[in-house]
Amino acid sequence: MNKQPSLRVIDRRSRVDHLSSPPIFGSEESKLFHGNDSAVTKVRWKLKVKLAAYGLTIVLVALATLLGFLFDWRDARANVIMLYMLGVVYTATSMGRGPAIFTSILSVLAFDYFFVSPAIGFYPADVKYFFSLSVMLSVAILVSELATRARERAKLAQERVQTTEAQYSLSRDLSSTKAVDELLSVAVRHFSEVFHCKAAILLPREADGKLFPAVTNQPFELSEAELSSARDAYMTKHLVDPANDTDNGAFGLYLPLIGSQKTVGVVGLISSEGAFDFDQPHRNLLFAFANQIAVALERAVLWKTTEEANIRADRERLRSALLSSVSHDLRTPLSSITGAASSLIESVDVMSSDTVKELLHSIYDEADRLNRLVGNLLDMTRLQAGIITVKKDWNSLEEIVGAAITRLRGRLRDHKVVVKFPDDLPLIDVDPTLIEQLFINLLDNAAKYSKAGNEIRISAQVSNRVLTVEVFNTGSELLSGEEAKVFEKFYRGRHTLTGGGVGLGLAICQAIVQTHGGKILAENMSGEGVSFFVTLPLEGEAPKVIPEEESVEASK
Amino acid sequence: MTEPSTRVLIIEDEPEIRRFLRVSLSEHGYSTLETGEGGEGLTMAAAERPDLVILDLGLPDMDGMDVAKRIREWSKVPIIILSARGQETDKVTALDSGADDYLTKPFGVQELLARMRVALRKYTQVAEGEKEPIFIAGKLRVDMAKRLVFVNDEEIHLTPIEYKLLHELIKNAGGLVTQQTLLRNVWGPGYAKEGHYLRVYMGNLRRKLEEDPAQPQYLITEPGVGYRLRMS
Repeated sequence: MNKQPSLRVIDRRSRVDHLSSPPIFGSEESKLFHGNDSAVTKVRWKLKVKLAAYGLTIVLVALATLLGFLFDWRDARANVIMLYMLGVVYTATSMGRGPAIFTSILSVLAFDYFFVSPAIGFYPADVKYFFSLSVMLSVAILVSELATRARERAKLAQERVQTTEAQYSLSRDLSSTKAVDELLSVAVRHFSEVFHCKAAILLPREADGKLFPAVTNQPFELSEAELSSARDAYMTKHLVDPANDTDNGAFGLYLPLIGSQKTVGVVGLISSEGAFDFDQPHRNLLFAFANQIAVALERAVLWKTTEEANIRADRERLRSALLSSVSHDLRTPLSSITGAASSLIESVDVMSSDTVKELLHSIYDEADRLNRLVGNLLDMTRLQAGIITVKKDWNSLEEIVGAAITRLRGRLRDHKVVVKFPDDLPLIDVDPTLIEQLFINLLDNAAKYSKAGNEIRISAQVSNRVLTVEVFNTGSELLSGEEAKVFEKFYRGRHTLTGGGVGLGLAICQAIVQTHGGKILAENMSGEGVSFFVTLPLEGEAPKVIPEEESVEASK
Repeated sequence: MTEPSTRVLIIEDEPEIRRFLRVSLSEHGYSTLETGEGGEGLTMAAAERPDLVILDLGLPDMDGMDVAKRIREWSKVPIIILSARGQETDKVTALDSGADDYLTKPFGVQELLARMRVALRKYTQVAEGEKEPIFIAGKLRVDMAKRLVFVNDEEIHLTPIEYKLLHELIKNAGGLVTQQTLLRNVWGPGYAKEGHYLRVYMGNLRRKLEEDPAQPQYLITEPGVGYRLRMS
């Protein structure tokens, strides 16, 4: 028998091999051209497997013949035919059409040679077994065709499941990421996992629009040839496959990432086995992947731009509010200071000592107010600009709150501050100066909105690894909707009782709490007053303190 | 109250602040020397041997921290730092490298005088090696010869470390003691970064000595910087 035609038969049967373009022998050369030895070995190995299948059919026919002889069924030829038939069916189901046809021909020949009387040998004139031959051939073709189709269906179904799974897992991973960098690495990881290759994503540079590799998962050498292939894919919006599109010596397959508005980039794949052997489902999957990533990338870039625009707008708002508050809020105390000082210079000699003292107090108080305003503006700007570095350490809440109360002693002179903390409050990992500022602002706010003589209560509790600190003051309630507004920059409450600020104190509180991963909210306390709740997550455990053993008496 | 011969070197680049310091200090009997530059300040500190240095952190020619460090290389003269908001890190560095205390701008003259008095007293005590055997601040009384602590005439039992901590603050009563100094002197040089020891023991000490530990009268915290034992 000639090997060549039967090989082609096998080739057509096995779908994966068949679809691999270019065909086996054609690709042999191109792979050699790429200097890839492993691909050649792979083709040789496939050939060997096919030859082994034919060898096995010979063994099967020999076995059937042997059995026929063993039981001496020369008189019951129908049984012998059944034996051969068994071999044909087996070959057809397990090895495909080529070996099955080969088996049936072999079987008829063997039958004719060994079992058709009168003696061993060919009797070609005996045409009555021509019928057996055609039946056997039909069975071989029919069964092998059925089996092949069933196998293909199963394989397709399995591939479809795999494809769906791959797509699902990609879209799940993509949807859970927002940042462009993260998204790119997710995409690259999926590409390389599903298609077993090195992957890179190339994006056009903002400055000059030139493509550059934004992310790769393995060292991905981008020679001039690779870059030119990538550029081709980007410009033409078509797949650039080294197997048929390029002759510039590039190894990589380049696929444009086409978004809804424009091409956002190019994904490059380099197989560790040289050229790519993608069957149709994989090819479809490749395009589906590229689509999904393109859309996600477009979305991420859009999100980033909107976010940046928001930040810019926010900064702009802050700047204009800053200007208006500088012009108004800072000028008010400055006017009092200038006025008082100028009248002192003018007529200190003729003033009563009480008047002089009053003017001097006015200067001092207004300067103090000015200092607080400037301090708040400074803090807010620095927090917003991210200049402040958060220096966390294990600190005691009681100590920090105590420091805040000490610092505000003057402002809190007319209020009664009650602090109730549980004895077993854990140390907290925070920036002590920022948290002190937080409580200074909260206490200042409480003093501002409650009458002299009223209580300001601070309490704390820990549950589910979250520390909640409550700062309560009696006084008028927040209007509905004001609970969130009070934390906005430059927002001022209506009922301020003493010296209004710029409206930044609580905004600073919120910024400080947020840099510590916590939350702050305001709540009306059923007609009595207002509470501010600061919640801070308790992360990690404070390092242990080795206790001492003896007391001071014992050591004496 | 103050010896008229006490001489203060002011290293500060803002002329208005120099003027305010000069007027207020001479009004209180101090004599002053002034410069607007760190380099010149160093020379003057060496040549004039002032009794106290007031040092601004934001100088045009060199870092205030470096001026403090350089002075400390050869002199124990008390140094009080003037810092602005936003110079917290520099302030702590300067204090750790030998400055005695600090004031944040803007400050009142009373505050400044109080800090100067504390710093000068500590300096003379160290120089003369004298030791007060009994310390009294408000209701707190500490007999250092007998190592006994009383609040409202009631004896309070302290552990050795608690006592050591209190003693360290008394040695510099009214003045700032940095966390580094406390950790080093109470627990040892290996504990410089173990700030949590300080929090736990300071908390215990407050529970024993203060009426309301969250609103302390004596053991005052300066978050991120250190502690101060208040006298008044």
